[in-house]
Amino acid sequence: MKGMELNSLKQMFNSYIRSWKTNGINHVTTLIVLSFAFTIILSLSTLTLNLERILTSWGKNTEITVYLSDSVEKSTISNLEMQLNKISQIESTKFITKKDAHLEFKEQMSQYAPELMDDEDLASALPQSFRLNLKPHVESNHLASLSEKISSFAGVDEVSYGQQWVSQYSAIVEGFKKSGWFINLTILLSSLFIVGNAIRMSISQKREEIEILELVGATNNMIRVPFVFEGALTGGLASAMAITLSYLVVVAEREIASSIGFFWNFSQQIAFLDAYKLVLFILFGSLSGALGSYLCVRKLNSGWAASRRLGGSH
Amino acid sequence: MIELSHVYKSYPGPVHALRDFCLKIDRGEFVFLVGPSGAGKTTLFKLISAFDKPTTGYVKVGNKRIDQISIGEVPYLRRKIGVVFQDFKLLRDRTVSENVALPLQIIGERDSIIKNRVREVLDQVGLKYKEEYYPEQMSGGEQQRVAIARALVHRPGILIADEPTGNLDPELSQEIMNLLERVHAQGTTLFVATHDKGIIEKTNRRVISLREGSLERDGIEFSETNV
Repeated sequence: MKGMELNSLKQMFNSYIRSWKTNGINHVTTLIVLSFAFTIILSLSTLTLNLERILTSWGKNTEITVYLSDSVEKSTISNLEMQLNKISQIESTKFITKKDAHLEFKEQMSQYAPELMDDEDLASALPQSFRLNLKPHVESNHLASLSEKISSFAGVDEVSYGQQWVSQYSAIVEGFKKSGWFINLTILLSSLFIVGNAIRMSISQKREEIEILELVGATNNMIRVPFVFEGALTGGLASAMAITLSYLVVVAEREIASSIGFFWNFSQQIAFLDAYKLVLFILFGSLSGALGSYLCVRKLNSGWAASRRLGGSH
Repeated sequence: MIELSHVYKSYPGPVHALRDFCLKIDRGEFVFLVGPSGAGKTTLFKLISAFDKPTTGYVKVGNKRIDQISIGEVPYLRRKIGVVFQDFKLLRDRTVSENVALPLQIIGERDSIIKNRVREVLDQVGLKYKEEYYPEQMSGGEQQRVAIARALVHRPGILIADEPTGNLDPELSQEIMNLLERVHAQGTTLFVATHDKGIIEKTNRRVISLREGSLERDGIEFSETNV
């Protein structure tokens, strides 16, 4: 005789396997539908993560150029440098003289416009400037306000942060994150319904077993626990399948990014969730499955349930 | 041990399954319940085993009134009663020993005690060597003996059996009745519904006769028209 404990893990697992054997099509259908639902949740989370990674990578390279007025005096430049260094978001400042600017210009443009290289007017037209590197924690959507602040300093003609569009991108990512929450919540609720439905089928299939358990005096929890376990196992399996599918989606995203966004090196920013988050996701799947199942079975045994099926005449 | 006082049980329709039914069965009695189909036998068993509540009146098992216990207490009351059905109600995907062990698992008995007690009760019903069989590998009579073993394994004070020989041939029916006699001899109160007049005639036990939900006769004398 084997181990006799009621609702032991082994016994519940065996019961789950038996359920697959007798009701395989329903289990497969549930698993596929649930896996796709979880894949959408996981893919959205991964996409949001990657959009943020791209944003962060751009943020790291963000520079602000402060162009000075032509008539600005040396003392004003010194004062301005001191003021800029006092700003906590600025990591470093570099003063670019007219000569430096001309040299840089020549270096960058000599291939494209060689006739301009010896133009003395052009050399004098390039303004003096400060080039500012920002600290890593500075978010791109703060660039506008920072730029406005610097513009008000004496001697400043114009402030340019070549990536104004980063702010717009940041707003899009933020919007995407918010709508992602809504979509994920909707899918999560649907998942509970899917698991609940599968468990309802399982209950119907195990009606006789439930009645027998009631007959011999099983409590509500003794009857419910195997179904909650079944839900947790289904949720766990579906989330594992979703991880595999989402990984394939990420691989495809990388391929697409490397073909269309080579210039920006997008593909290097596209990553999959780390192992810790994946374990959490499997736990999330199991908990969702268990919750969906519990919501379905909590009223399963009213204490008189078997009487409806005991049969016989009155 | 079992007491029903002015019990009425109605179902939507309305169907009056029991009408002003009174009954008292003392500890250690062996009582037969007879009556045609639809007389209210199954309803009576449902009420005693707490699978239903009376519409009016009360049902008392031991010292508990069924209508006064909470839903949470129902399983604990059922553990004091062994129930046997005509269709055996065995778990087909579990072995004989696993089926018989179920009531002991439910009360959280230790593995070693369960194993010993299951062997003991299987020996008592003559199935000692079939503990690893599955129900489908056994005859109807053997399956009914497994059901009786399961009903007895936790030593309930009361055993109720609804047509326990209904699906069996006369020889197997007699075998089951002999087994129930042995169970009764050990002090268990037995309440057995049957259509088998031959069995009742042989035993000379108290017979309760139901007709259209009412008590028609209660006594040792047996009339063929009751069955």
